[in-house]
Amino acid sequence: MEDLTRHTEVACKHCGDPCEDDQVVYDAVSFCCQGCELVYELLHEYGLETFYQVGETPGVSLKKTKSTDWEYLDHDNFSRQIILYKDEQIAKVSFYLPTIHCSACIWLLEKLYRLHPGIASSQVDFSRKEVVITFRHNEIRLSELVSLLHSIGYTPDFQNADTKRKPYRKLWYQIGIAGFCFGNIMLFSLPEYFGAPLFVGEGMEVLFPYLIALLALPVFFYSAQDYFKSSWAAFRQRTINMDVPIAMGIVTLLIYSYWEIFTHSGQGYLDSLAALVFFLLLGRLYQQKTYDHLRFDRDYTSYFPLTAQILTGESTKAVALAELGVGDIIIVKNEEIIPADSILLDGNANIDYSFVTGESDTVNTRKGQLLYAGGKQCGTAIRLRVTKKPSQSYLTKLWNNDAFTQNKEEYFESLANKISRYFTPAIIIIAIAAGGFWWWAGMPENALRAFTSVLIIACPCALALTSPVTLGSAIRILGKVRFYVKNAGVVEAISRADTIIFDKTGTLTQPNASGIIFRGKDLSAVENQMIFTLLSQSIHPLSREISAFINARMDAEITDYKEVDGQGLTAKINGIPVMAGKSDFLDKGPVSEISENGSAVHIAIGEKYLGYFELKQPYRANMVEMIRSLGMDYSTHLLSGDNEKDRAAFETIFGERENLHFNQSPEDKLAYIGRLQAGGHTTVMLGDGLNDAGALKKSDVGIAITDHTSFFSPACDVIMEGSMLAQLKSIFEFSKKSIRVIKTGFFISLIYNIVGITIAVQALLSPVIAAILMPVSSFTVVIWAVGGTRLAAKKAGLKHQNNQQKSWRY
Amino acid sequence: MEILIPIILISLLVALGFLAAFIWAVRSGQYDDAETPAYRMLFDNDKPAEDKKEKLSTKNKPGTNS
Amino acid sequence: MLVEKFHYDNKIVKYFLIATVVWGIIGMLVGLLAAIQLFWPAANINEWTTYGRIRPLHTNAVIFAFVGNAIFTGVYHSMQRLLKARMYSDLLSWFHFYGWQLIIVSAVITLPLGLTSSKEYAELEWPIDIAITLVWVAFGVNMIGTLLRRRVKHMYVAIWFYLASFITVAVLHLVNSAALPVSLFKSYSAYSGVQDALVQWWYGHNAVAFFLTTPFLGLMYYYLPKAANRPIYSYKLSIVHFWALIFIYIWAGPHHLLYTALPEWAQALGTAFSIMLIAPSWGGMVNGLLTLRGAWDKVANDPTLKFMIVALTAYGMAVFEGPMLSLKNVNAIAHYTDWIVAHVHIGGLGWNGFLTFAMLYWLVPKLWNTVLYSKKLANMHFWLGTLGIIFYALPLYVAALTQWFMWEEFNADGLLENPNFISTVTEIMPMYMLRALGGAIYLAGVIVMTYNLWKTAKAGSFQNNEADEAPALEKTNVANEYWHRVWERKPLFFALLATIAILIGGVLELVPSFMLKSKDITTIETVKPYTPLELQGRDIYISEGCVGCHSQMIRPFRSETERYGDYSKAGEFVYDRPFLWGSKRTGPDLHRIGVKYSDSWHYFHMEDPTSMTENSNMPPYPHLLSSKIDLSTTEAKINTMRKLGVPYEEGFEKEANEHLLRQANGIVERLKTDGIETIPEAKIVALIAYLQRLGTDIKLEEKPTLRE
Repeated sequence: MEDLTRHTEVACKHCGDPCEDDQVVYDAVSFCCQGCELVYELLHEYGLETFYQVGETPGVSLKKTKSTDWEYLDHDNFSRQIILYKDEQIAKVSFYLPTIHCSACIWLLEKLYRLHPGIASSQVDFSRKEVVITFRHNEIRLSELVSLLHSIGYTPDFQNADTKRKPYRKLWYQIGIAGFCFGNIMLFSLPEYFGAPLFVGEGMEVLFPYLIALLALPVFFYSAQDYFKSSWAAFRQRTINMDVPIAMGIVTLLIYSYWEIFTHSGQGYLDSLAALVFFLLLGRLYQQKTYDHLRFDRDYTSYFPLTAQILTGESTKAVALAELGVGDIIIVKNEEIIPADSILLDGNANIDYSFVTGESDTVNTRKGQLLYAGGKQCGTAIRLRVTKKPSQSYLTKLWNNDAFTQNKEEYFESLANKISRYFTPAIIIIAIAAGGFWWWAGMPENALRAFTSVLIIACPCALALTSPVTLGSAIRILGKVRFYVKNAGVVEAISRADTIIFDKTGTLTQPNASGIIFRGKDLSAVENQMIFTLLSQSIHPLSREISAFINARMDAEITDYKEVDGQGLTAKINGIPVMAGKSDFLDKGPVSEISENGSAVHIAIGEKYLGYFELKQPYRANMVEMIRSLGMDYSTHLLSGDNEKDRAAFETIFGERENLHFNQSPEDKLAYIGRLQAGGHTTVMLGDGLNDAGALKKSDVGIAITDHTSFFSPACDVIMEGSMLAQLKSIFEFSKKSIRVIKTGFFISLIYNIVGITIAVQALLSPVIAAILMPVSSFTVVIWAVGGTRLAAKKAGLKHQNNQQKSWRY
Repeated sequence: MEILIPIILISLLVALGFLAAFIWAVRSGQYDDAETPAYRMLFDNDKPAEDKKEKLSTKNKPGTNS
Repeated sequence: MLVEKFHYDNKIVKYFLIATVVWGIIGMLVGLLAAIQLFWPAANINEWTTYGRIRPLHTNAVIFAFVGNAIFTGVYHSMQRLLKARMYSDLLSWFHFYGWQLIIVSAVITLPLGLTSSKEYAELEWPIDIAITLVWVAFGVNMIGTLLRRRVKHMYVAIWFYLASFITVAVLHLVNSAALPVSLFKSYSAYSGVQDALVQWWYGHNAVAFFLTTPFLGLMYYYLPKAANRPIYSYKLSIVHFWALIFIYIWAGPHHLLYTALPEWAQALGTAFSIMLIAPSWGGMVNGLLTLRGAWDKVANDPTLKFMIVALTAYGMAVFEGPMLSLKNVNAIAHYTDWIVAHVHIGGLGWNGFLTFAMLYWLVPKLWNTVLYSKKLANMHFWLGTLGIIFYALPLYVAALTQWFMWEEFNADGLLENPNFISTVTEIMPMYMLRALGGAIYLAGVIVMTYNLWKTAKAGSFQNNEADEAPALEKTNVANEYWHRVWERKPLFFALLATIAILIGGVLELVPSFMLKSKDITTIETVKPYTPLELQGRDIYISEGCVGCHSQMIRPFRSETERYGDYSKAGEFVYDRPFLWGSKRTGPDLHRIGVKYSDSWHYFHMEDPTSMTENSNMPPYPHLLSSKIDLSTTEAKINTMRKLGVPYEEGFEKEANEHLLRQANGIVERLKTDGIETIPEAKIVALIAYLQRLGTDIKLEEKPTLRE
């Protein structure tokens, strides 16, 4: 039964998509769009029509590709990144082409020299979907090259070209050589393994040991060189690190074996030496691979959804930083961070680079100049075009630079360093003692075995690994719950906290609810637009809600815009002064009573008071149970800048009367926290991070609550999404448990070392087995750290945001 | 059985030669891309552009050199 | 660095292709004749076509002529296209072609004349050996030159296989052909006895490896993807399996000498390595077969792919059977029997033969720019070939096992069930006939192919120089690739020449120094050098190719010591240059034949074997009775032997001929008592002297304990 629907559709010769309405026919062949037909014609003209024989319908559909201008590629600060090599005559560039999908693409992309004389040669790497093109840059500019690729359906993608992972080529060589020699040494000791009498008396039993000695040299000098280099560096600074015992073990093995071989008193242990180095290097390779994998996870920037406002046509759209592309136009408002290097399109920007450079005076930049990521805009909103792929790691480095972090030395980090400082010398002493004992007992062979295996088996690296890996995976799990922690020290501080201080507005109350009413004279359209233009400059939660409520855009010229922290905004719009904020800030309107947990924003235009917006802010979901459950094992406090009016409501929630304080100015909050800390408490403060930035910074742990994460204040240690507030208790529980995981990790590695050393001392353990056990031990510790934190999260009842959806859907 | 000594030495020499060739190959980037060569060898030499032109004129040539 | 236009050299490929087909047919014809002679002795028409002489001709013709030319066809065609460059120098290409054909012609002449060094797969005498070296180096220089002028940076894995084959075969040939010339057509091997055996089989095995396997794997990696028009299954696997194969293969020689007088641990080493070889060898087969996953419908209607699949499977079987054969208990059965011949021919007919046919069926239509004349004939050839292999191999497996069990059978009272050897041979005559039939079918297939290819070529138009264009390899490299530039240009070429120079230097300097020291081998005092007459007799034994059917190595099994006498010790062969252990027992082992039969028995037996043992399949040698030995060569022979370390007294070569004649007259007297008239210079007298001497040196001592 023939399938009727397919019968009518004709597939496009170039890309195979069905040709609907805008079908194009060219010399009796049908195409789905003009784009495909053009490419077909182009290829025929240059004699490349075998492209359609190498694979059927091999092309890439050009229906959806919009024509973009590429000339920005030409100015050199951009091209510098993707040009691999350039001299006066030719240049070499590599593009990431996601649309490479078949052998015909390879065939076509390696025949580019036929399409344009300027192109010299091109080579495709199919698995990485990359093409390396060598071209004569005076005959064809980079932008022309890219538009040529774009015209045949292969648009280079500059954003997320996957970073080339640095291959461990040197380590591979070392392992290869160690393996080659290890194998061959064993082969030459085959006769010895089969039992010596087999020799028929020729010079064999002398020749083979010499060959073994020869083959041991590359292992010793090339493969094991890293151990010697790092222990030599440690000696120069008169400290001892983990590689010193291993280096000593290898050296003694070699010297002893050489002594045995050249005095014909035995075969030596060079096969176990080579095996030792081979397995040590394999362990190191595995460790590096897991570390990379973990670091990639630990790199919480990929979870840190800083968003930016992109101007599409007239409206702005919030886009996650990762999707922000080069050439997009973005809006940066007052007090917002510039997410990526970009060029100023309009508006006078004075940028406060205190985060980046540390000095605080703002820099005034003119139109067309380059602005660097990390600067904060002070003044009216500005329009920028992104020139460099925004890198989140740069912003988070900014967040961590020492201008902001008090030196919260991690407790456990210091513990690991303390132990390893004494651990290694202790091991060396034990090894010498064991070796000496056996030597004195007249068994030199045992002495050697004991000495080397003690040195190898002891593994301080388990200690050094436990705390960073555990805290790293803890941060990753918290990231999933939208509780973004700045660094590992913060998790430790949370686990030690005993007092929690809340700010009211924006923290306990639910912002941008729908209850906004304007009380006063009804506003004309122009007045609405002026208020909107003023309020849309600032990111304060109240002004953001009101501007969303009004949403009447007008392009007005704003001059001497000023925002007073926690009080209000003033600016001249088209020359007319406009003010918005608290009643005493305007000192014009009546101090009108506002209903329970609402707040008011008074408006005055041209010295005439118009009225005020009343915003009702209900409490956050199940906020009351959260505070009550926390109250059981933490002392909870409330500091609010608002007036006393809802003190009664909060008293029922918080219990103790004297912990509630209202009308707190930022300075009062700062002083209050100081008094608590002086009283020996470790404090955790939750606030919206705007007007109480100082208090957040002073507190041992400052948590900033936000709802739209385009806001970014470096003063806080943690950024938490408002919706997650309900899980605060299980978050605290989780951080306590992960500290316990670290302690057990230390315990495991201690037990391993004690047992390992006791066996080694009795010379029962051969160095090769020791070499295998050592990486195994550090490997188990890593597994325990990662697994332990996952277990702790489940027990603490942390529900991942996406998990919920997942479970719901399945 | 001393002949074993030169034979083993020669075999070892050849094996070391191949090891050196292996290291040269890796260093000089022969194995950076270990997937595309399998496709590239499939492409035959189609005629360069200008022969193609005069070839096109004699339409009736049997068999195309695909 | 513009786009360069250049032309591929197809003419050389055409010539090698034609040579492959021609020599293929000739080699197989000789093989068929040898197979027929084994069950029908009358087929040994005259002195020059006896089995002993034409068996080496068959092996050399098939290996070096048929397979050799097939390799060169494939290499010259694929290398130019993979590197997008014409061959380095046309002069070298043609020198290589005509030189190689001349060498083959010289083999066709010298081998039937009995001018052989008797070392298997290296039978050609020393002047031809030198010619082979020269032509082989010319081939290598041509390849490396093309490599350095390539326009594609990446060297496809096939190139690496070709290079590895060139280098290793060069080394093997040099070491194994080390011999001291006596005259223009006679030389004595530089090694003696056990050591000669080890060097020969170190060469023998690795020649199979690096001449019959690695170049063909290279051809498979080029022609299989081309024929199937799909990329190889896993290019990474091909890289790994190449390097693994190269590093290990060179060590696997000793598995040819299990249970012989080779030291125990060397045998164990050989076995260990052969087992390890399974992985890399099967890596190649798996990579080839899996390339066609999902395209098996293509195989159904394309004869080229059918040939390739059977070739790869045969390769897989042969390289699995090899390691199994190197296990001591399996080897005990298979060694000296037809099992080895079956193993060789599964690899030869299946892997080498079928892959060559596949290459030809794909290449001829492409080079002559036309379509294959008839696909039906190609399919017919495929089925003929497959049947041929089955009819060839299966009967031999049956023959081998039958013969082995008959050899080692003991009856109730502890005596051999089949004491005389001939009963075990007549038992397997029908299997030899079936084998000959298999060979004939296979040859018929080849003739069908030749006709098919000839008609295809006539229909097409050949293009001597095929045009192509490619951008030159840019010299500019990213800054951190400084080392790449240094390695790439001159040093690589000179490094290669240096290694070859060192190798030659090493061999020439090392080998003699060890030869002189060979005295302290466990010499048995009673073993003395051969007398001049016996030496001449031994050379006749060599030139008639008796080693093709008779072994001279009794293994320490009760069935063999009971049948032949005491097992052979290493010390007995110390003056055997070259060693004559042999690898196949069509006839009985001769190492303890001395004084077992009377001189007259040998006389009549050589004249007509069936007179002494009825329905023997040994060829008659009547010309030995009439023709005379050339006494003038005795002096040169004794001198050469003394130079190689055999303790002849100084000046012995002067009265060597009188000593010879004295001993010859003694034999003539004995023959006269049995009524046989002959002259002392007759070849038969020298041969009888040598046969009567075999294995007699040890009898004088008391019987050493059995090592079973």
